[in-house]
Amino acid sequence: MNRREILSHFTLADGILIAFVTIAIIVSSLFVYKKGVKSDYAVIEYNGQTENISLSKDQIFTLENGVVIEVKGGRIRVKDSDCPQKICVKHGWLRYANDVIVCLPNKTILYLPKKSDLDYITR
Amino acid sequence: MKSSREKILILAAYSIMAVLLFLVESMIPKPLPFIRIGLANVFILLILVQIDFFSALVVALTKVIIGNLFSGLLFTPLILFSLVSSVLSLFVMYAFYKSKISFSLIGVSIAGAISHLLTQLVLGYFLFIHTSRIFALFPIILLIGLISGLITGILVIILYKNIRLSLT
Repeated sequence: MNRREILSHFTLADGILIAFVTIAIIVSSLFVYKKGVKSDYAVIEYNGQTENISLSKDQIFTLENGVVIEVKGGRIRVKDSDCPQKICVKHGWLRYANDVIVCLPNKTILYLPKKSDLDYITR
Repeated sequence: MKSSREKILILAAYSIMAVLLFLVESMIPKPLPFIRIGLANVFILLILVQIDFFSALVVALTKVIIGNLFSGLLFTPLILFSLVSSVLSLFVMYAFYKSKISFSLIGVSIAGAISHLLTQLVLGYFLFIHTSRIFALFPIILLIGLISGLITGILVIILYKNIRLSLT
């Protein structure tokens, strides 16, 4: 069976279906993958305490548990950590609201909060 | 004309073919669990077109139950995904096949693939993940459904000319 024979099976309805799905893919990906809103502060949770860090001032500091945090140009990252796999370091920079870095061995969570009327939603 | 006992035996043989296709496909390594061509679905769609809806339903259910028995997922919550999405996508394919709008087998299988994947996405949301972030997969799932539906549909059209399935 050659290509022409297969193509001859296509109907107008197929074309409309394929076009509709393609448009749905484009529209939904624009909706899903739009760039996030920037945050102006980050939250670090470790050892049961919560700390707010401003992102407007560039700084490098070390937490009590040895995690080194770097703030630069409105972004924040884990610069260094003593954990074995260094997943938190490899994660790179956080820029947009809702971005999270978790360092499980050091029990540290670093995230940019979402600008919203709601603080948290529990489920 | 064959006896009903013989018909059941033929249906059982078709079911085992679908199970084999399902198992062969699940052996192929893939980056995401839902990226699959749906080889078994090629066969089920062929049964739907050449025999009838009921036979296709029997083969689809056997595929899910026996296939998941062999891949070790039977009696886990994951069986719900295969079961519901397989049956639902079969209904969708039947509706598209019987509809007044003239979809070819390619359109039918695209509808089947997309409804199969979307059912799993919605089930995943309600049963396990509970966060709307799972819908970030929506465009990817549509794209995979479109591509795998196209491949399945073309395979069905090629097989339709060369294979004659029947219970009689």
